[in-house]
Order: sequence, then structure tokens, then C-alpha cells
Amino acid sequence: MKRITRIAVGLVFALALQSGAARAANESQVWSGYLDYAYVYSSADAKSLSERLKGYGNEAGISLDRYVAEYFNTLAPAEAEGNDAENQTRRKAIAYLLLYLQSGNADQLEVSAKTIRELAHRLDRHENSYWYHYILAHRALERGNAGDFVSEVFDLWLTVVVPIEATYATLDTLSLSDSPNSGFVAALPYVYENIARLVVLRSQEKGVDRELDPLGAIVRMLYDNRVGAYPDVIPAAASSRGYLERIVERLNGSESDEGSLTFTLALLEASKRHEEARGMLAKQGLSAETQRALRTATGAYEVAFKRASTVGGQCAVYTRVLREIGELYAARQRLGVDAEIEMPFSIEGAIGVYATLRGSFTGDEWKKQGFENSTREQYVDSMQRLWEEIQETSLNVGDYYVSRSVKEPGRADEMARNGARVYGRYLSFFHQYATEDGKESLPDSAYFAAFEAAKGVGSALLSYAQKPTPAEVRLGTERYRAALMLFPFDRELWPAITAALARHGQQSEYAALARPIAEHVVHSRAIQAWIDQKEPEADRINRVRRALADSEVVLYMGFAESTKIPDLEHELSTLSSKRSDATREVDRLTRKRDELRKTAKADVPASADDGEAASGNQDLADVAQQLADAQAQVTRLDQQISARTRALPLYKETLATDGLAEELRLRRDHPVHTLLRRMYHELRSAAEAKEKQ
Amino acid sequence: MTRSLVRLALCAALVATLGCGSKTYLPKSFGQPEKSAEEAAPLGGPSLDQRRENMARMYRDLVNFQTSLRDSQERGDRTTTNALAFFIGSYMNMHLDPLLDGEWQSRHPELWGLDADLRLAKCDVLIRMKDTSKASKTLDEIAARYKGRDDMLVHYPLGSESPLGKALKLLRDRV
Repeated sequence: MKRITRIAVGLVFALALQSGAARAANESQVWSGYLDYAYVYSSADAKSLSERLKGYGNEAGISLDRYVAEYFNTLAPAEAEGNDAENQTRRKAIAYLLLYLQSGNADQLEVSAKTIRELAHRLDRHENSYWYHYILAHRALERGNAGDFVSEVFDLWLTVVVPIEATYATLDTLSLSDSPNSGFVAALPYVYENIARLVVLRSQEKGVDRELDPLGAIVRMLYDNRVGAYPDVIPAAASSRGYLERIVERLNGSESDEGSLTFTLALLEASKRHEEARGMLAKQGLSAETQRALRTATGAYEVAFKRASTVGGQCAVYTRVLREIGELYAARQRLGVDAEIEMPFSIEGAIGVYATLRGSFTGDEWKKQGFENSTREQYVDSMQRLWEEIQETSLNVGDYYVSRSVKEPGRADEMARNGARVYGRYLSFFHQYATEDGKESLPDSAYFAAFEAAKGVGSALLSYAQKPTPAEVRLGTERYRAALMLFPFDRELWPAITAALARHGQQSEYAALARPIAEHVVHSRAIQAWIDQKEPEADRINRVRRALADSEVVLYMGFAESTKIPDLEHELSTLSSKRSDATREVDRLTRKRDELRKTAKADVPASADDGEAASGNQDLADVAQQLADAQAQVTRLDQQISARTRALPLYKETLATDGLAEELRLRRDHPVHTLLRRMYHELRSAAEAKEKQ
Repeated sequence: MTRSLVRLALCAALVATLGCGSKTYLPKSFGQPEKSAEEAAPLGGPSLDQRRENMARMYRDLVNFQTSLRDSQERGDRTTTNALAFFIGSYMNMHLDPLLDGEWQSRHPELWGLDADLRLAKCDVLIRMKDTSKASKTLDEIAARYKGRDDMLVHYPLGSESPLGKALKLLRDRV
């Protein structure tokens, strides 16, 4: 139990024993004690406060609202004089404040404010000053008046906090801070806590979400060895220290819109609402309640966006709200529920924010976008995180449309084209910014995402659209090729290209299309360095690279199916037996030819019959021809056996990278993303150099 | 009565220095300035420790003010800058200046370093508040109090160390 509470409870208990149960007609010593120590519990949430007050009421024998009505409003004014009158006035104001905090009834707060104003001439007493400004700060929040709220908090700091800090430290050093004689000075840890909660929590609950920036200084001071610095008085778990820490970290970081408290609180509030909506989505799916929560979260992000005065601030909002959009589309796809939620945010808007940030990439221009107190690394990190959200949301939305094309065959073409457009927009965005001079602003995972988007366009137009136009078929085929250039380790995509070419009768172009991709893998310096340095997955990649060096493997990649490798192996053994048969046939024909030759030589002197001689020559010629054919067959079989014996194991080696795409999809920090980045820029640099020549 | 006078004086001073102070955030009451430090000069032991602790806390407060002012100025947020300047001006008048009034702490070997740091930080904040007149006076006072001790190491610019003479020059260049 907290020390102060312990003292208060002990005191109250002793008084209660002396005076017996209080009656409304008299001052209740129990309530007087609890009201004097109200700074201990006044920041509790409405429900906890209500329970506390109920408990104290049971102890006092009279509820607070009855006590207020029957004592403060009738007898107290007549009974009290001097100091006691001042105490009763303060207690009455506190009592009304507590009733307001418990019920939310603004009339009670007005009475509280009116009552405490009676002590305006006694603000030299810290306790009076504290409650005076604390109550008026609540009233300012209730009225939505940020200016007055800031003034009251500043007054609280200047007239209460700073003056009692020095004394509290002295008393604490002498272990007197919890002495009953230490008076209101002992309340300092609670004063810190209450101000912190008022500024960072209550203001948001009351919807005061603007013009709070001057209080950034107060928040920083509260965090600086004040809130949470007295764990023996307020345990860490009951303190707002953790939340304050998050706020100050944000204020000091690159996502605070240049240290704006208003923006920081608005964004944290929006993130809180987003978390709530996400929790509901997980538990209830896209129920009406979840949709309401999603709308609330979106509204909160909209408020934060409006409060942002820098592009850096807008970037911080978009980085989070895109996640919400992506989650919504993923849920629609997963649950098959078509929930319509109005979104004032879009992927285009996020791309616009990214473009502005990227436009300030050179020199010190970037600082002006809301990063004056940030490092360049933080600026680049902000751009990369926004990019990641743009790519993830684009892929989620594209996937959603493609899945809709399956569920609604009647709208398959429309949905597939929508999907292709979303993937295509990401690809355009990628190609615009994945340049040599600005590649730093892209995350490593952007390159694999570009592969997914290119493959997405191809699949949407070639597999999901029912009646693609010839131009769309060509575009889809080209996107498949582009996808393989970005990530050549997806074996499924090679036969997909062949199938795509077949749709416009151009399978013969496969080799011309696929060979440059294979050559890129075989000759890539980036891959070579990756293998030489034994980077992650170097062995798997090396096996594929070796295989792609064989032109027959490239053909296998396009025309064979990996699932039919056993059939191919079986065919190889069939070829061997065919070769044995062919060899035997050659031997037989060789023997026959030789016999015919012998017969022909023996017959020449004895026979003068020209017809018989001619017949013998014809037989010999026929056998010689059959022998030549059989020998050619053996040669062909030898070539086939040799090629398959060499290429088939190599083709099997390409299985080594099976599953790599899935691994990269699941892990945006997978090390192979870095290799894909290097491969892309190697290729792009070479292409640009060729263009210049 | 005293409170009203202090308030009036502060209002006049700040409106004069800021040119156009927003009235939105004017504190409604300021209480009374603390007693001059000379009146309660601690001589040693826990009181001295206490004084050091108070000075250290106020130094950290000034660093926080400096950060908040810098942020609002970089955002181009004049309303916040003015409100902060008003609040910080009141803080200095009511609490910091009385603490710095005493001569003894600038001569006390256990406190003079912190005393100089505190005055330099105050000057830095005043410059950010564009109160060049007070900043100039503060610099003159530091120079007078620490005459002949230009080599003394102080924590300025904030977050680093330099000799007092260099720190004074850096600040004078900004005034």
C-alpha cells in the first residue's frame, strides 16, 4: 500500500473510531480525510474511482453525493470559520470534482470550479493553488479550450510544482517526506503523476487534440526524473512513466513532426485505436463493431494527418494508416466479407508524400521536410518504412482483386484488370525511384516486391482474366519476363512464360526470351561475389547458377515440369535400351552387308548372268543404306543420352531454390533481399550504359 | 497584491521583448518569487547537497526548455514559441533568478562549475527567446563573476565541454 494512503487511512480510521459513524448533519471526519488526500486517487479512471468512492462512502456511512448535498450545501457554510472554512471550501470543490470525474456530469465540474474560485485570494497556500489550477484545467478540457488548459497547467507548474520540489527533496533526504507534518509537500509524486495523466491522457479523452504544443516542455520535465522516480510512493506498474517514455522517445525521434506534442499525442491515440480495431478484427472478423472501430481508427489518423505541419509528420501517419488499409483488404479477402469503409487515405497519397521526401534527397534539403533534429539515417529510414507499407498494401490490394476475379466469374475480367492496375502502379513507382542515385531510399525488400508485382500483373492478365486482349497477353508475357529478371529463382515462372507465349502462338520465342535471363544469372558479378563470400544461401544459388549455364537446362526450365522428373529419368533408361537395340541392329546389318559383299566377289567370275549380278548389288546397296540409317540412329541416341545424362541432374539442381520465394515473402529482412537489390542495379547500370553508347 | 504586481511586470517585460505575445496562454497567476539565494545560503553538508540538487534540476529544466523552443521555432510555430517564452520568462523570474542571485555559489568550489553551466544555459535559452537584452546582461554577469577564469571547463554548447572563454564568445556571437 502506498505510504500516503496508509497514513491517510490510519488517520481516518482513528478519527472514525472516535466519532463513530458520521451523519449527514455533521462533518464526516472520514470524508474530510479522504478528500484531503484525494490527490492520491483522483486520476483513477471513472470506474475505479466510482468503486473507491463507494467504498469510502460505506466506511463513512454516507455516500459522497449525499454528503455533498446534505453537508456542504447546508451546514458547512454556517459551521466553519477561518482556516476551517478554507478547508471546507477546498473539500467541497474536490468533492464536486470527484463526482464529475466519476459521472462525467459537467454541472458538477462547474460547481467545483465556482467553489474553488472562492479561494482565489489564498493561492499562496500550495494545496489551494494545486486544486485551483487542477480543477480549472479540467474545466478547460471539458470546454475544449486548449489555450486555457495550457495556461492552467503552466500555472500549476510555476506556483505548485517548482516551489514544493526543493522542500520535498529536503524532506525526502531526511526521510520526512511521508511525515504527517510534511503537509502538501508530500503530495509531490502524485502531483507529477496527476499532471502527466491530465496532459497526455485526459486531454485526449476529452478530445482536446490541438494547440497542446507548449506543454511539450512540461512533458519533457515530467519525464526527466520526476514521474516514476518515486517507486516506493507510486509503484512502477501504477505510474504513467511507460507511456510518458513512449511520448518523449517519439518527441525526440523523427516521427514527431519536429517535436510537436499535439501531433505526437494524436498519432499515439490513432495507433491505440488501430490496435483496438486490430484486436476486434482478430476476434470478431469484419463485424459491425469491428467496422466501427476501423472507422474510429481512420478518423483518428485523419486528425493526426491534419495536425502534421511537416511532410515528415505526414509520412509518419501514412506509414501507419497504410497498414490499416492493407489489413482491411487482407481481411476482406480472407473472410469474403465486402466491408465498405470510407478512407480519406490512399496509396497514391502515400506515393505523393514519398515523392516529396525523395525530392529533397540531395544536400541538406531533406532537413526542411521535418527532420531538422534528425540524422540523415533517420530520414532515410522514414522513407524506407513508408516504402515498405506502400509495397505491402499494393500487394494486398492486388491480391484481393485477383481473388475476387475467381469468386465472381462474371466480373473476372474487371477484377483481374483492377488487380493488374494496382500491381502495375507499384511497378511504375519502383522503376521511377529504384535508380542508382536514390537506391538508398528503398528498402532491400522493394526488389522482391517488384518481382511479386510483375508476376502479379502477368498472372492477373494471363491466368485470371477470362478474355484478355492480345495487347494484354503481350503485356502479361513481358511482365513475367521482367519478374524473372528480378528474381530468377522462381522455377514456376519459367514454364509460365512458355504457357504465356503459347497463348499467342510464339513458343518458339522462348529461348530468345529466356536466354538473357539465364546469362544474367550466370555472369552476374553480384552473384559471383555472393557465392565467393559464402553469404547466406550461397550454396543453393550456386547450384542454380551452374545449372542455368547449360542451355538444355534452360529449355527444361521452360518446357518440362519439375513434377515429371521421374518420367524424364525413365525416358533416359528407355533411350539406353533403344540404343542397345540399335547397336544390335547395326551389328546385324554390318554382318549382312559383309556377307553380301563376299557373295558378290565370289559370283563375279562364275556367273555371266547380268540380271543376277544386278540383283546382288541392289541387296548390298539396300543393306548399306539400312546400316547407315541404323548408325545414324545410334549417333542420335548417343547425343540424346549424353545431353540428358548431363542436363537432367543439372535440372534437378534447380530444385535447390524451391521455397526461396516463400521465405523471402515471409521475411522482409531475409539476407537474399540484399542480393536481389545488387542484381537489379547491376542489370540496370549495364542497360543504361548500353543506351548511352 | 504582490502577485498582481509581479504579473503586471512580467506581462510588460514579455510583451516588450516578444513584440506580439499571444494572450491565449498567459498564466493567470504567478505566486511569489522565491527568496534570494543569498538569504538562504547553505554552508555545507546536506544543505549544500540540496542546493546542488536544485541547481542540477533547474539546469535540466533549461535544457528541456531549450529543446522545446528549438522545436517550435523549427516548426515555425510562433504561438507555441511565444507561449513557451512567456512561461520560461516566468520560471526564470520566479524561481531561477532568485537561486542565482547569491554571490557565494560562484565562489564555492563545489558549486561554481554548476553555477556557470546554469548561467550559460539560461543565456542560451534567452537567446532562443530573442531576449537579447537579458542574454547580454547574463553574459556580462558571468564574465564579471568568473573574471580571470576563462580556462575553466564548462558544459557548453549543451552536450559538450569547452573553456568558459570560448563558451562566452560563442554566446556573444549569437546575441
